[in-house]
Amino acid sequence: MTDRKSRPSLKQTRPIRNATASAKAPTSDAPLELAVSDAVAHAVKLGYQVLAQNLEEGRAAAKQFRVGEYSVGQVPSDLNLLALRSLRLARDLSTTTFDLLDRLLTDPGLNAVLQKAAAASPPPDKAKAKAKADTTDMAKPAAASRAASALIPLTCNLSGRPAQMKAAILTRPKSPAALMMTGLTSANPADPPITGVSFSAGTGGAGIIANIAVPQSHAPGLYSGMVFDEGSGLPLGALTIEVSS
Amino acid sequence: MNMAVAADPAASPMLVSKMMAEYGHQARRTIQDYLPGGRRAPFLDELITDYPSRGGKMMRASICIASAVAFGGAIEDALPCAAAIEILHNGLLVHDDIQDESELRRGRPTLHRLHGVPLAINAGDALMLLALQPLFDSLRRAGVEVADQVLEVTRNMARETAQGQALELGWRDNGAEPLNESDYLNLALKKTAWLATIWPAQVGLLIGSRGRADAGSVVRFGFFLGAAFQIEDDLRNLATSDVYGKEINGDLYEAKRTLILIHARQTATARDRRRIDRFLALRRADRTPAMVGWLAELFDRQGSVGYARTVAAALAGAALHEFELVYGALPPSRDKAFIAGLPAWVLARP
Repeated sequence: MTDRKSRPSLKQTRPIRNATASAKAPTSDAPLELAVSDAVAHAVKLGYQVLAQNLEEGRAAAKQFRVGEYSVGQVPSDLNLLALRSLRLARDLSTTTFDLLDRLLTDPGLNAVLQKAAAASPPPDKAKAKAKADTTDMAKPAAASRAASALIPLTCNLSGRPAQMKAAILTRPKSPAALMMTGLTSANPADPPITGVSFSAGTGGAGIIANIAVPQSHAPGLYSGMVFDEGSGLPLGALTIEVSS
Repeated sequence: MNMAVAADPAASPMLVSKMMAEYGHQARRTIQDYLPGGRRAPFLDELITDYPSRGGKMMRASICIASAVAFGGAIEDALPCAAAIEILHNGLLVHDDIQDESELRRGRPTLHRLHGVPLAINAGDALMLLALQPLFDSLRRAGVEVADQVLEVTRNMARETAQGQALELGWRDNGAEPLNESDYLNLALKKTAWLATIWPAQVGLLIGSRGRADAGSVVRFGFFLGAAFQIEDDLRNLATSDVYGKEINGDLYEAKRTLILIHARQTATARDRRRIDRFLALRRADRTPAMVGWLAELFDRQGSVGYARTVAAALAGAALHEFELVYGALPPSRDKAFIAGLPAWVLARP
């Protein structure tokens, strides 16, 4: 029978964190105190000093900014306002989208294309009215066209969680306008709203597209919201989408 | 200093890399929900999604999520904030690259080199504003008390980061010499640590603890971690690895006031110091590869690279010490081990 092989006990059981100090340390049974090199001590000390000075400056700055009658109760409305302002700013940055919208609503050529598109598929009652007008009064095409183009086709570009558009209506503003939407809300008040809806012009002037990113965390169900004229605050329409389960 | 955490295999850089990949993946999916998809706004959407799609370590997002979970929160609660942090970071990177005239970012040409400066600035602006949306979504869910505190630390971060960027640009453009190590650490705190480590840890802590933990308690940990991260980043810029994804020696061409440069200048002979000062006074376009090569050699000769490595390790050690003070009392968890492993990871990251 042979003796069971065993690993000899290690002389070193901890990593050498400071090779220079370790090399210089005398062999002794006394517990080793971790030596700190000048460079390390200097760096750490300096770090604490710089931080302390900055924290003091930060405290003084915070004191200045804190002056005022700001109440914690104001936070939710502040947040909403800030979010709205930020979204407007973000949309403003997308100047191309706004230019397109502006052109769509003011350019006679593009308007004609839009009116033609709207007239091509009018609602049944409007179609009858249009047919009657066409046969009885050929001198009033502009009025018929205006009636047909009172609504702007609104479609959705949905991303994120699967969802589909359920209903949309958007009336044409009387003057060029930027569209805005505060958010699509659920009937269940516990569900957070879907925010960040932006609008862009459809290709070739074919209506308006609502760009909606549905967060993955949102519960399934119907979400609705109003579309406003950003300038006047007048409601121009409504939009409903269904987030799939 | 309590080294037990560093010696714990659970706190290894490997665990950090693994969890960062995991949390990074989840944060990326959340970011996709907030960035434009589908129909494209010309000259904008492609630019907005460019940097976020190039990868990146997702360190900031991971710190936020791990901090939230370590303090008792759920990953889902922290994800929108983590997404906001990364989107904002990407927006700042776009502007940073323009200001530094950088040529490469994450291995590809910078956004302004691909699309020109005006469009890149516009995309950077849009990214920064888009970052507010996930932040607000998260705060609505978190409630008024937490929202107030998160906004407070966010305001601090914004102020400090802007000051840091101004300092660096001001030093570069106005030839503020001589600078010392305190100046450098001050810059690392303001320009890097607040955004990269302190703020994500604070937001995570507030979300996870539902506003009950003190956000100020992680400032020291975040500072030492962020400073070590920045020095290591400066060192890697001198390396010749193409994995790094940035321009090799880009910091030298940009005359960035790194700890390495400050040390080399402080320890150089009077003649070499004058030569360094002449180099720093040049415009970037006038700095030749020969000049940059000489400076890199001087760094070696003066032992500045080794010195910076020592300081980075020392600050990482200080971060571990601060970790124990803040997170030490929390129950053991994978996320706590992740945070404990960060100081070692910043020095040994892939």
